[in-house]
Amino acid sequence: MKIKSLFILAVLGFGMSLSASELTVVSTEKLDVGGTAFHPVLSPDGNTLLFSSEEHKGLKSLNLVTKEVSVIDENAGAGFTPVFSADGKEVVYRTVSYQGKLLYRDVRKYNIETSKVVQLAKPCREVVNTQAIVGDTYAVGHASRQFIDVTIKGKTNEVNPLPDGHLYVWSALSPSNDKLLFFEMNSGLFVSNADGSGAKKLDVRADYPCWAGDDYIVALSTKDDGYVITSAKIVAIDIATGKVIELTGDDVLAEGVTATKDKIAYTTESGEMYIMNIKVAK
Amino acid sequence: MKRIALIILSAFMVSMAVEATKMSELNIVIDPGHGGYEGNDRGMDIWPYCVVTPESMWESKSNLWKALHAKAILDSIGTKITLTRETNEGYYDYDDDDTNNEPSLLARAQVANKLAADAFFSIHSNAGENVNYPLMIYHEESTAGNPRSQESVKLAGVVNDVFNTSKYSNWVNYKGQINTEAPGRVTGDRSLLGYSLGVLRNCYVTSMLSEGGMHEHRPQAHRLMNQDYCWLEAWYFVQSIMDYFETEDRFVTGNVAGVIYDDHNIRGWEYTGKYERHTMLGRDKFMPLNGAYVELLDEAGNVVQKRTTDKDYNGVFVFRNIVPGKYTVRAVKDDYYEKLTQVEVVADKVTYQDMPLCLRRESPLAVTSYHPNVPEGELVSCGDKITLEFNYDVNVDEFEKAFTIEPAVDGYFEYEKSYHIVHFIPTVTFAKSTDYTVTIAKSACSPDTIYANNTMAEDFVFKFTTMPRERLEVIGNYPADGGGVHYIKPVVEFRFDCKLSGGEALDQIKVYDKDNNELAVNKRTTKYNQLTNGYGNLSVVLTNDLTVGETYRAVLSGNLRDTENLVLGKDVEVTFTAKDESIEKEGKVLETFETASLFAYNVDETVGISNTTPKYTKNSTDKLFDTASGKFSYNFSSNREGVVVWDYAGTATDSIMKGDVVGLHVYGDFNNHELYVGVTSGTDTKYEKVCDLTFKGWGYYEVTMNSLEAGYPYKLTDIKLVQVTSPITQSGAFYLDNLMLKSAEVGGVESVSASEADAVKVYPIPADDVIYVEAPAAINSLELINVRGVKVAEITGKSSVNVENLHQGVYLLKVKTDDGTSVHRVAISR
Repeated sequence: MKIKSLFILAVLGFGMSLSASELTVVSTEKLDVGGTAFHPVLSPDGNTLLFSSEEHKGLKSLNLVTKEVSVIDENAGAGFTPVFSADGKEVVYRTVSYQGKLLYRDVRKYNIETSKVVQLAKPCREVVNTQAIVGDTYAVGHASRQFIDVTIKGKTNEVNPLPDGHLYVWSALSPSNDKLLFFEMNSGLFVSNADGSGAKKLDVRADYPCWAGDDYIVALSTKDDGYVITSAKIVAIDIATGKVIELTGDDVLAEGVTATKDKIAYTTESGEMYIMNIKVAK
Repeated sequence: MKRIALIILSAFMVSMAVEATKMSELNIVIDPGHGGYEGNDRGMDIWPYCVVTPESMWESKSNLWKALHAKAILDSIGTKITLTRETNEGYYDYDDDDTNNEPSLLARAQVANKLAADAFFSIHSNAGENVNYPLMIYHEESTAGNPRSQESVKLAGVVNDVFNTSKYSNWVNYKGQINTEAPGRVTGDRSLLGYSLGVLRNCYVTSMLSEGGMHEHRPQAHRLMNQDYCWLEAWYFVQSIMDYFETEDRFVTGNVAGVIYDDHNIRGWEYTGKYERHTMLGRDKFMPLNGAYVELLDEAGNVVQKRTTDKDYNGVFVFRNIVPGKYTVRAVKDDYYEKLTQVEVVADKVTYQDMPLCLRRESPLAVTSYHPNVPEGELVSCGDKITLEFNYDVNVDEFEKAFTIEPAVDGYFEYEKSYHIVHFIPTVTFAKSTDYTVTIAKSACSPDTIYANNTMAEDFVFKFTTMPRERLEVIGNYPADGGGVHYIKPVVEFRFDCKLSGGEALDQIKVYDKDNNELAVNKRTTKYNQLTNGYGNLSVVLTNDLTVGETYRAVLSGNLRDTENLVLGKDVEVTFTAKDESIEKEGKVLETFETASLFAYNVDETVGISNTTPKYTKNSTDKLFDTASGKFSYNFSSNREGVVVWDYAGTATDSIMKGDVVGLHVYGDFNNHELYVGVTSGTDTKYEKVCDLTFKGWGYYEVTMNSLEAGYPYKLTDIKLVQVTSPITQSGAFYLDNLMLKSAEVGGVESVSASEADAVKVYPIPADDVIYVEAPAAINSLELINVRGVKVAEITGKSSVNVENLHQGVYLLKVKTDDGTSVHRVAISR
């Protein structure tokens, strides 16, 4: 009841200009990368698709134009949340190593054109904002701090859109930088203004939420029995209406998803990877 | 918490290795499994919460409590600790789980990955009735036996080792037995479950899922509702972290943990039923005490910590973070004697000290009611038992010494309501027509050994006399010993002088083949207690057909009991042979019973039936030939003088003559009634008895129709059932299949040669007025003989005989010529 009340207030206070649009899937293609693929990340221009193994070991890229697969890194953890530069030419990521039983991560940068990897920082235990290395506009949710860093053209604001929020797991600025999506562990998926105001709860259980243009959020929606994922589908949420569009059936058991304004890539529990071409009609 | 921090700081002063890991360096993520009291959460109906409510046992709640306690401990010693959830409210909309907010399994893993945790624990408890052991699970890649991370395997092993030191739970293995050593297990998810745990599969960090115990094991469920218990499990997690990371920090304090419980009364005796249906061994057998006060006193007598046990039937208390040394635990509760026990607290350890309290029973033990307690002259069933109820629970050993019965009876004791009620149950039964005297000597006592007068004030004596019936008796069985049973859908039935005690009777009969293999019984069609007036029966249908000609044994257990609890006493064995009643019989099939509405009960001739009218139905289940048999069902109104007549409405037109033989395939109902076939010629109806229905299943019975009028053709018109006076049943059903007709053999008529007979022509057959004869030789005489052998007409010197005045029917025509004599079968029909 408390959540619903907040939601109603949030809707009333949502100040953004929203217009109805329709997202449709134009085509779906299974991608052959010579093995399994997990945790996909699309470049902003939609031409490059990063992927990894289920446990995030190694990082590879697929050129969606030439279908060429390149191995970027084979180290542990390399595939966990790699970040593209705005022009899509560089990727920053971290690899995992252990000193004793303590976990360390370095910072590496990969150049798409030259295929060169540069270690930017030695293994350390500190949190590193990898997005800041390759861009000046981003949102970083802190999993253990009660705010999100929203940086637009180098200017950072700490926002905490939920008074009792404590774990911001996923967050992202919309392509036009005026909206913010975020997922808080105890409250779910929200969209707000970029400054965190006017938070609106989206009524869908959603993991890996990301923007597909300015009007839609694409995410992975799962059900589980507390131990095993029993169904998982890719959904798109119209942020103007809150309408949820199922882009796949429950039975695909999708496990990861990424999107741009005209492409969605997703992987499945068995390591298959698909790309959808989508169209958003105003 | 401040106290712990200080203690840990002091520990640093004696830190061991310079490069050893500090707890403050670690980054830990703990995931309290499930959430939200609905959906995939796991709630339990548990006393006193008769339905699953938030106050009841929920896995999400205890998981969260453990996690919050672990966070508090880790926070206090500087470890970076993050929980994937910190509340347990309002997550889940059970009716619309697409929109709930409970963190998904992937989101929980994402937190561990995002924070680059040194270790990730997903905390759970397990489902599983009558078992209770910790289970530590690591992730395996695509196949079982292929761990993703050896460090995760080590972590799971360390947690398991630490949990194994816990003496709080009675660890019960899969056989329901107490495990005293190393109860836990370490395993991979695919090896255990056949699939990946969703919360582990995407983790790149060292990770595991802990099942700390079995929450469907009720005593464990009650413990999981207690904050102290959850705190201690959290403490064990922290100790596991210290062990795994080999930190220089250890707990410099210790804990005292225990359960306060009644030292004699049984757990759940006040709320038996579904809430306490689980195996309870060791200390878990006893009743935990709610609201008991317990305190820890130092050597100077100062109260260091105190607790009051909660209202959730676990009796758990933990004195946390106690400075090592010698202490006294003091426990008190209203109506119980105080208990004081010395304990020693050791750093980094848990000192277990249970506190069983003795209930005050400060008056003598006394019998408050007993059974049999009957008026003088009233007799008691030999199958009865002796029951005594006391004002207190009894000391079992002393009670059993104090109990005597004269004359002596072999028997055993059962206890109820936590030893407040005692039953003495004869191993077999009491003897019939016997005067018994029961004495409880005054030495019987309550378990209150502190109270000086806990015995009975005086001996308690009572008497009773038993009835003359002491055994269940078999009053009939089919097949009879040495008899036969049709081999298809074979049926064996026993009948008794009393109704059987219940469904367990079905397990008291076994059928064996000649090699002593037990035959399967179709329990769906097996019936018992279908007789009237208090008589019992047990009728079993074997699942598979028998082999014709082979011998079988039906064995009825001597343990079979009736509703008066009288026992059969000894096994009853019946040997029988499988036979085939469907083999072809001599004669013509007169009626096949393949059509419906073949018979209708005759209202005028039927007497003594109940409101349920007799029926005839076509039956395709119990048939012997083709597709169906005819089922005749009846229900008499009393146990005598009933008759049911069913009129034949079929198309069989063959004449049945005196001396003909009618054969019937009959499926008997073992009710002993008499079965007749009725035939009619004109207005003359005759009934011939086919058989007594003293059998179960198919049999073939023939009857010679000797009561018919000679020379008159009869036709099938009736089936009649005549009730035999018997109290055991008034209703039943029998089945008939192919009714056969064999013509009579003619005695006293000389036989003729085939060649002579063939040479003589007799026509027409049937004839209505005149029968003509042509023969190669001169005809001397013609004689007509009816089926009884009586000459009804004789003509000499003619080649024809007038039959206008003779009854319809079959006759023999004897033709005497110069060449000899021949006999011909003729018929008269109009």
